[in-house]
Amino acid sequence: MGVDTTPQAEAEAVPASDAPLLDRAGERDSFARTVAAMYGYRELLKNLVAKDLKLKYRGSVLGFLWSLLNPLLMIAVYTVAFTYILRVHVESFVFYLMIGILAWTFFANSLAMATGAIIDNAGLVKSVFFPRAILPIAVVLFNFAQYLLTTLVFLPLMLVIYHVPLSAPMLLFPVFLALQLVFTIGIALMLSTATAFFRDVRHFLEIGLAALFWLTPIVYQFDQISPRLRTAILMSPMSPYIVSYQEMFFYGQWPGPAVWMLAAGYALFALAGGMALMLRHEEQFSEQI
Amino acid sequence: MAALVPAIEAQALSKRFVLRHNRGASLKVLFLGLLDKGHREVLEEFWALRDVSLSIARGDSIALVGRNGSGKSTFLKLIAGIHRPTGGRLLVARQARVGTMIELGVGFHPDLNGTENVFLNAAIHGLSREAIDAIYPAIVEYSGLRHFMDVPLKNYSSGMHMRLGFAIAANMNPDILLLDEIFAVGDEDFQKQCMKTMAQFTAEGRTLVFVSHSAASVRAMCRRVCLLDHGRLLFDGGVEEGLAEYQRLIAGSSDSPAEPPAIAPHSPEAAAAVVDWDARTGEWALAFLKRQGLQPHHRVLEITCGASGSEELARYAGPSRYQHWEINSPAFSPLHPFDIALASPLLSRISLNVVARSLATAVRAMDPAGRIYAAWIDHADASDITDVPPFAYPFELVAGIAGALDLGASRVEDAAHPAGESVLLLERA
Repeated sequence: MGVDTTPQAEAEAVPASDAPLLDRAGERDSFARTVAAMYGYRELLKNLVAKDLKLKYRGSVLGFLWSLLNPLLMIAVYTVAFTYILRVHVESFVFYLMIGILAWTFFANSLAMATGAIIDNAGLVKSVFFPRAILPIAVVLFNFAQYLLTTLVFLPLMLVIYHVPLSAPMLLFPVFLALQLVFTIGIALMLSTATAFFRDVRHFLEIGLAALFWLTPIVYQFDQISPRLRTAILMSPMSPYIVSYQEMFFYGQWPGPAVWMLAAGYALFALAGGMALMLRHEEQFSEQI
Repeated sequence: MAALVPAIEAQALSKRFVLRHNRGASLKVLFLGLLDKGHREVLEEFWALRDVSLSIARGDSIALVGRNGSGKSTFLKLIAGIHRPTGGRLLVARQARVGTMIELGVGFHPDLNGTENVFLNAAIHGLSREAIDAIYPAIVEYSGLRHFMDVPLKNYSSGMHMRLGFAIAANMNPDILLLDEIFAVGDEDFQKQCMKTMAQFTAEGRTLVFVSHSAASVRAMCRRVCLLDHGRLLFDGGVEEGLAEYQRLIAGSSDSPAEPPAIAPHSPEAAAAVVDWDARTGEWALAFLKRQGLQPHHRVLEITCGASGSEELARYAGPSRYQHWEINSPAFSPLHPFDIALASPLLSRISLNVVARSLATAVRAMDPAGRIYAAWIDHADASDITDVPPFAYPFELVAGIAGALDLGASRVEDAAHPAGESVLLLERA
């Protein structure tokens, strides 16, 4: 192709993304630019998370202690329930249970809150421009902060109570934690977008989460289920993350390759899908909600 | 090059909204719609802007005037990037920081204190931590709320809310400031302070786009006026000509002369009042009044916002019992333009009593003998999305306050049309 040097061609040769004027009706910004713009709003993200944390504990006498007391009370209740009432004969069953429940609580609470992330902020969305993805991400990070703090207290405590020796696989905890966070953000992006168009998503989510809870090895152990179902249960979206925690802390083993692949794969797919959905529809929010 | 590149340029810009009647935003509507046509969502197109071409240079201060629903606020929201244009082009300087004050106090949280809200609000507008730290003292100074910064916002008065909101916007130093007529509130001193800030703002070469109904603020702040009507640009030019054009538009659409004839006294003290935002459903209002049984002693007062009165209504009531008021017209002086501005975007934030009373006062002033009774009429739906957001409280409540409390009405009947009009009948025993 020959080089055209007419001024007009020169003007056209400037890529739209570098022109001094941005066309609001024109092509959407590239993915990289959008992500860069979101990074510019990190202060907002920080503020939103801080706001939710502050508001949650402001006004209560015990304040933040509640987040720590909560799992302690849960441990007490489960210990009574599963040792004296149900008589589960698995050693340190409550420890096993708590690993799964805490991780699950983070996931379920994040999603429940994420459905309202866009629609409950209608006033904001209708009158200020900012990357809408910030809202559901902030919700997930708020829940993540609580999960982290709870875990920081709960894990060492459990290790002491149940005489669990420290082992090398535990070093992987941050890696799977990060993968679970990414996965949760991805799903939260999808749900917050979908709820803007269909309010029913909230109700579907309740049912979906209840079903998913039992499709994830939280209250039962992997080797208790029939071998035919094991693959299916492992494929269930939250399983790889929870199984990985159980492997590290309860069994003291390295997570297997299937767990690795599923955890990473789900996280990537959820994030890519969630971002794509959000970016594709975010400009409709101000008219939809 | 900087001088050649406009700050904002609209080329044949159009925006279409889809009004969704029977809307549920839910799957139920979808499913029921499959079974029964009556449940199907009714979609109606509404062009908020049509083929608007307009170039705004850097340092320009431009006022967008027009009646409610003319597309002013939509234009602001398109520039801000909140809505996406349906057609045409809208060029905005890429490097420009765009500040928006379309709704004041949005993003404030009542349980956070002043300082926390400043940081949150500035972050919503995209400021970095360093930038907020840098302007924080100026915001506190400007708002005059130094002693209240550690008080939760729920304990602020509405005036304090506005001061804080405006103080944040005024100190964010955007290159382009989009301002809806929200700051025309607060006491006189604060208004003067606002105007001074805006004048300084444009003197610094920043660009101001201002939506207003108030001639005084337009004169004080703008060098150019663009008149929009039904989404089309009718006039673009000097301030005085533009304002005159706007007055002509309002006057031309109104049937009543500047000095409405006094209504002959009637003995029983009762009246029907109709507020009809754009007179599209005069027939509907009429049907309501007929249903309610319009008595010979009733009189009909139609209050429109920017539109002509309903001919059907006038004919039905007869010239001696019908009166039409256009709230933007000078004849409607009892209701100050600021009150109108106050009544629309901020309604959900100021006390019901204030709104109801200001309307009651206006009605009393129109008819000092106190024979006409009216109340604030809600705008039930988003047919007017651009200017009047759907209000957050039930119409009956406001009508009740204005009618019963302020005007002593004993009977209040009302109805709201999905397209946004409401009609009210008030009667005193």
